[in-house]
Amino acid sequence: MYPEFLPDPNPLYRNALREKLERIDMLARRTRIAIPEFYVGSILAVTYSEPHAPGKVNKFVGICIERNGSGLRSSFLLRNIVDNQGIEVCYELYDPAIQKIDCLRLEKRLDSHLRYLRDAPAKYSTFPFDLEPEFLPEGASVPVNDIKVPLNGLPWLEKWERQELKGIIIKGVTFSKKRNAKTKISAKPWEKYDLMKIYRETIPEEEQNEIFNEVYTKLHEIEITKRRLKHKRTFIRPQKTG
Amino acid sequence: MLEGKPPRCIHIYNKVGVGYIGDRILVAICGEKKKGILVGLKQVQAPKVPKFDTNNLVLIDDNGTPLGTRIQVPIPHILRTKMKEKTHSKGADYTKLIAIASRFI
Repeated sequence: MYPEFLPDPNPLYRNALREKLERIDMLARRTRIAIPEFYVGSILAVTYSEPHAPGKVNKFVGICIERNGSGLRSSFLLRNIVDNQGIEVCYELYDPAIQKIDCLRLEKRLDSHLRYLRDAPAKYSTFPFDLEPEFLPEGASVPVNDIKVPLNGLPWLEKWERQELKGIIIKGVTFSKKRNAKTKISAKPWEKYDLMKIYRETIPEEEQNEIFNEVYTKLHEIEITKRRLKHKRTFIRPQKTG
Repeated sequence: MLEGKPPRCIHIYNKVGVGYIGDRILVAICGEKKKGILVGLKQVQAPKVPKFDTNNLVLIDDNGTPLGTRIQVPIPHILRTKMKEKTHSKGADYTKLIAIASRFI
């Protein structure tokens, strides 16, 4: 639920003290702003202060296609199509300029990233800016959207056929003989059995428990105050007229 | 430009040689040389700056006045500040480019 609390597994970037300080800062930020639970494939609305806009506030709605980074540097990438123009905006999760993050539709997809939507028809990444938030019943698990996205013809931005993606349909695309041969060479079907590789790329469970135990009580408190505030009436600043 | 041969960049008027948002460039379009302003880029952008699926350009004349009358694609908000910085009282005037934009993102 909180993947950004886990540090980067690469031992070159590990530093216990820095990680601890970052966690304190993240919790401090979370007391100020409600960061909802979301996954790759969820639809988010981000309201942030934009010094370049006339009203100094801007809002962007889009599907989360990628989550990157860990700790204070964690970020997510939103994609939408506005006026037939694909637009992607990267936001940092703990950016102090962000005023509000709303999860309009909470769901998961079959893949760990949805960058292939760049090469898919426009309807798969078009979301209206006035989308109503959908609420799941309390205690329900996060639904998995098992939609399969057909891709456009070549050329593509990445070699999707090599990435073992579950959420795409490659149909009506003919690869050259050379490309097929290279796909066969670069395939690594044994990698999912490589325990050492999995160990190197993830934080061990004992360490995860240690980190989550540290932050859990604080996060729980934040959750309770958030729920209490939801029932309270919010103060709406009266508009200046005349 | 939705149909026809896409314009081709032949020069960028900055000192880096890489065109960034708000830079003036020279393009070959319909057999002519025209100047334009980059208003949307495909390259990876800084946080909170939109990245577009295509490279977008608004054609201008030497004074900075756009040749067309409408911009159909969304324009990033940051371009307002960028173009304001580049506008000088006796040089190019880019305020018209911002004025004809239909939607900011």
